[in-house]
Amino acid sequence: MEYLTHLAILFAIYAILALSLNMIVGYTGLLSVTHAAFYGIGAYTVAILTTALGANFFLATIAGIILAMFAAALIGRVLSKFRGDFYALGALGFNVIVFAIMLNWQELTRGPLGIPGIPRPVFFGIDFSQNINFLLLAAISLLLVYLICSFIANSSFGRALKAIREDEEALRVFGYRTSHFKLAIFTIGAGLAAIAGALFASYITYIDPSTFTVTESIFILAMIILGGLANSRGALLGSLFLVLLPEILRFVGFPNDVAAQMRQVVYGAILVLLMLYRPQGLMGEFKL
Amino acid sequence: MSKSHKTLVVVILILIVAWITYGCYRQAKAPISQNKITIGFFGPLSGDRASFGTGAQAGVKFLFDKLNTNKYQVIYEDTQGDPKNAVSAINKLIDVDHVSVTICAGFSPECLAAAPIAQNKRVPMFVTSSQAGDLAAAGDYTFMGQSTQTSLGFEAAKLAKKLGYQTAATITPNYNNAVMDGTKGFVEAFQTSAGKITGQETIKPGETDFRTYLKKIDAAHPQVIYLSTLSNETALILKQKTDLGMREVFINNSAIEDPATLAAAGAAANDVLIASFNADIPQSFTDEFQRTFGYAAPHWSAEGYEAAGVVLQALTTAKSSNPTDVRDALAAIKEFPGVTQTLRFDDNGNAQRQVFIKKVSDGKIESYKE
Repeated sequence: MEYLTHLAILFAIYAILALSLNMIVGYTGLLSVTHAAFYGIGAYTVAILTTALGANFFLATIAGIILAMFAAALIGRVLSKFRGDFYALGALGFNVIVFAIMLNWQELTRGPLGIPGIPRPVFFGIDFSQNINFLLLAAISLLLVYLICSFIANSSFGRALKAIREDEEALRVFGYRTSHFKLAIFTIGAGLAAIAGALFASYITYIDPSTFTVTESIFILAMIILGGLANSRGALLGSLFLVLLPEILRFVGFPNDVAAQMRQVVYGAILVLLMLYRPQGLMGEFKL
Repeated sequence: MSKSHKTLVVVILILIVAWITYGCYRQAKAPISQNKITIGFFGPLSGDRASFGTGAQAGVKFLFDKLNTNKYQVIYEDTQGDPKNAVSAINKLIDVDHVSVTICAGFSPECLAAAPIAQNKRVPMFVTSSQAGDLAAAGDYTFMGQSTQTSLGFEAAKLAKKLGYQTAATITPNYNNAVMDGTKGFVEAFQTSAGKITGQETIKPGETDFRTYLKKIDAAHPQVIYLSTLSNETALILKQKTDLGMREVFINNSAIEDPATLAAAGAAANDVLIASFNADIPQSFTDEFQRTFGYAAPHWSAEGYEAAGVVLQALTTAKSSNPTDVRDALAAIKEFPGVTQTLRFDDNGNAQRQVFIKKVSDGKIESYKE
């Protein structure tokens, strides 16, 4: 039961990341490979504020969201002028910069030593050090993020985002300042990713820079591509699939000597097959 | 895709699903022996750090295969070197497999991420290879089979002072906590004994050209340079310092003891001093290991073997599979005759390994005699 609770918490964290990235990539068509940077900013803000200053988890999370949105607004101003491959390259560069800061600003982040002993939150007498309670917190956060994403997707703002994805030039002709829209969704997505980072830091109780690399950004991108772009339920399905599949494979009775390698092969093969059969993802409405 | 291709893909997909289903069913239906004691092992068994994990796994397997008993079952889980996967692995081992004790053969981040779970769920975790200082304070359910690299740095500084050097510099990667602890230990000990640190350079992941760092350090004319490094960069640093004609004395941690690194460094490794926890692996162990696995035992296999030995001794004296009893038995072990040296454990259950001073001469590593 505890193991399933753990997997459910991991799913909730990754689902938040997938939903928020889906707003940027799926709805707006911006190929962002920098989500792990905002995830990391949220995680590090909570880790530093709660361990060094004894700050309340919820206040630290708000600080993380603000910081991630501020960073996104800064880098987004540059990125929103790009499209396609150039956007992806610029975003990737930002992830590399944030990773380098986490690794090298050792006075603040402890560099590769990581930050251990991050406390779990206690709120109104509820002790979230119990995994089942933490699952409740993660589930509420996921629900909140899902509602925000659905609201955006169904609003006139969301429709403008989809129009940018389909034909940015046409929208400009109608007088829309598309770079503002792109910047806004990028900033909102970053703030939501910071929530996932805060939950991750508090749940695992230890973070180090290796969790927030470009590889992690690609992993989150894979979730929404697999689940289906521009569909929130697809993002949930993609994250469920990619979080649970490696765990299910732990139960396959491969011989000990080759088990780890075989799991990787099967994992990769399943992904390849899925992409062959559903190139638009499991529930996709848009293909990159 | 043509129709025949589609059919083939469907068949493969069905086979994979059937395989997974069968595996899950088999595991769920496997008879649980009341007398069988399960031990969990987790570490990087795939990915770019797999050589460490699979090496330690071979050491653990070597010991339990030799016992030739059905009393113990070791369950191996892969972490791919990712702390998040280490958390999943230890959760699965404790909650699903109900292990009495776990062995962490991962790098420091993996073991540090898993340690709070071992503590909260009160299942002891024995760490085979990680030498990070934070692990020593991770709780009373975490036991270390290694000393921290800080003590290697201390011994290297003592050696430098003993040889009469007054000025030193350091080079260390900025992405590994254990080797950074080593540098901190060196700097602290060297400065405490009135030595002067003329420069400290940190190298980044994936770097291959270290000439800028070496030139910068060389410009301050230190007498000795402490390389607290990993095998990845050690050979290149030594080759490049030779190319630059640097004449300083180099002291390395155990990175150069990796046979591949020593071979890659070639003549550039000659005269490098080493402060290392690694005693020589006895020939009898090496021969038997070679016969069993078909390759020479790396040090991390010996460490895995020693970790399994310590865990086995705790299980034997605990006379119980209850994790708390096993923890108490682990805490009670003060000395263990390891393969390479006698392991002495401090009051927190962390090994205090002896430091060996060695030197590379003509491409071979020998004990250092002043």
